Amino acid sequence: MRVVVASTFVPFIEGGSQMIVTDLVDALRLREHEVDTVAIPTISHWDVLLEEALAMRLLEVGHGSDVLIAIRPPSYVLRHPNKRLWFIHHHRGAYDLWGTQWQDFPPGPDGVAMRDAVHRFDDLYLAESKRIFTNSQTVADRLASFNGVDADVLYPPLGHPERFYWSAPEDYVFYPCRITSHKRQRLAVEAAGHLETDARVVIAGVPEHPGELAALTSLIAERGLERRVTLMPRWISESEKAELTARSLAVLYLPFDEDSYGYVSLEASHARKAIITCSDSGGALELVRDGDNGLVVDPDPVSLAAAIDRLAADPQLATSLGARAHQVLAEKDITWDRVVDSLTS
Amino acid sequence: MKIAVLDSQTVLSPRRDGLLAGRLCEALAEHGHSAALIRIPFSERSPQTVVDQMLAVRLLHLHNVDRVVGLGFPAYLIPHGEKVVWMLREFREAYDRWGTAGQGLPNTPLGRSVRASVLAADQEYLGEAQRIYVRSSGAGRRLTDYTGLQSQVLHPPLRDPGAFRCDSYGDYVLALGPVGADSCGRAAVEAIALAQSAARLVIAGSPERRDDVAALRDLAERLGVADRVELIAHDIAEAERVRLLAACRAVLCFGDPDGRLTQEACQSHKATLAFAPECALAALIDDGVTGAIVSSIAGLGLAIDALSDDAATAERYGDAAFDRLARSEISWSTVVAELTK
Repeated sequence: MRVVVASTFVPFIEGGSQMIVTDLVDALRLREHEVDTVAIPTISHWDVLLEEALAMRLLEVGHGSDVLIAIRPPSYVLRHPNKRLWFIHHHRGAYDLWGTQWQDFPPGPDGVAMRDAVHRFDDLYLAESKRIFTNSQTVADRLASFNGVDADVLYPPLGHPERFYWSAPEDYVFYPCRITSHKRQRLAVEAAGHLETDARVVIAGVPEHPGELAALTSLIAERGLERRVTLMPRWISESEKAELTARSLAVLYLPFDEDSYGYVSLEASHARKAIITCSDSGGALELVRDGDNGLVVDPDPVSLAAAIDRLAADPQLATSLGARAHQVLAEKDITWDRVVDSLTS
Repeated sequence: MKIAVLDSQTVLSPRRDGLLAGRLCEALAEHGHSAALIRIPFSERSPQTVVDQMLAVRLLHLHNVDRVVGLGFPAYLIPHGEKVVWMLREFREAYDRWGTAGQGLPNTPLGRSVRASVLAADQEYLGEAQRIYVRSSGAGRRLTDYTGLQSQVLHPPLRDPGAFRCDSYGDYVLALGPVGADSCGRAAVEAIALAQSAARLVIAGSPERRDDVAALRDLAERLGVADRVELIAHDIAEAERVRLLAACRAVLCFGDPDGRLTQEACQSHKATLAFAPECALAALIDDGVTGAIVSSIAGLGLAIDALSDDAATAERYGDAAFDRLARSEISWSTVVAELTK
């Protein structure tokens, strides 16, 4: 089959959506499909959303391909007679984040008019698709409630699961993730101040803004947590991440209301490690069940510290939760065979 | 500097057109810049969508980028305050192909209006760029003639000069490129017929038209040189191209719009015999030192004879050609320095 995988991106910012595109293209090629990628730069500022959608509509990408798979908004606006969506998120400021501090439209009639326009073109162009899949139940539910669209969940597998492996747990929990406020590395640092066992917290990732790193660093200094918290504010290679995951007691994934389960939880599952997440973390809860393959805690430092202490005091529990995490991958059939079959059949 | 390299993309096409853009990004990275290749789809298939696709590019925005380098139409029309254009691929249908036998846009009110829109957009939005570079002096003249815009020549270096080599100075002269019966192919066959030496001619490349191969064979037959002319009438893969250049006596050049062929000849230690100065990258051809510039088929025959009679001369020319390219300003360092200044 001749397949076009289309998405949008911001130059010089690595995002999960680019990883999905790269991994999907690799998986399609491995199964002998002829694939090309269309990646259109967007800025997604509220006042240019219509221009960017119109640009998508005017582009010519469809000729000569059997299927177009659209990933990040607004790539589903592209024209194609056999359009499939692997929908990963809305422009959330116009939907579930409207009326919250993350609403990225100005208050007043201009913002409302643009939000309504986004809803209209989403309704219009989502309806053109032959099939719609999402990367999580959370996103499928949003499509149903906001746009009245039915979608099936197609969990994105890791590109290279074989990189992740298990080794004997050491004394730290590991949080590998881009450092940014809604991923709540701050919560992990605060929890370190309440630990009663000797457990440590290791945080690794590229800071999105220098300010966020500075805030974490000063929090660690203020509370005297230098020996409890190791901060690696940089890009770490896949092999370094795999090693730190393998030797960890458990993996932390603490975002606020994330759309999908996140690669971090998937990596932990492949490495047979328990996942500690929060009751308000969103998509991660589709994968992690409290006491089964990880621990789900209230999003406060004391609860998080108690969960870490519990695993530190009972490494056997950590090991058995981790073993279940690996089984859950198979139960949910999170594989590229399933993804490719669904998107091309 | 964070540099976005903007090129056009032919979706699902095996064509080579993105390769130079990829090499440019590597060169920018080698010089300490962060480079991102951004390819905007463009389809020439239906004339009525050309203007829509231009508009699409104008509706896009780029943030988080210190400089844009535009390479191909219509991607190079993208709005940005820090834009430099290195025009590698303009929409030739609106330029010199208009009014020729191979014209792709129809000569209808629609075709004429598309052509006018392309020229107007290039004039207006290339005009926004801080500087415009072109790949050859011919392309620069054309841009000025059609849009009034001024430009500087910045020759694209070879993507991978190290791939070319010299194995020997064999018994054939080489004509590379599309095999056409009307001009280049014909001139090459006629020149070999006029040559007094036993030099053979190898013409390699995909045929321009279906009957070109038969026409060239007929011509060689009529001129009595069928046994000295070899036609390799298909698209030449990179490895075969390298091999043909590595073992030829010299390279015949009838047209080299971006200077690639002349550079490949130099890099393979081979003299270039150019049919008129504008047919090759003239800066690399020193007549009688690194090759020859001739103005007639008879002259080309004589130039072939001079090198086929004496392999040592061919080698001396070839070595001089290699040195000339090495000492020239054609390099990725030059390209990076110009595009980032």
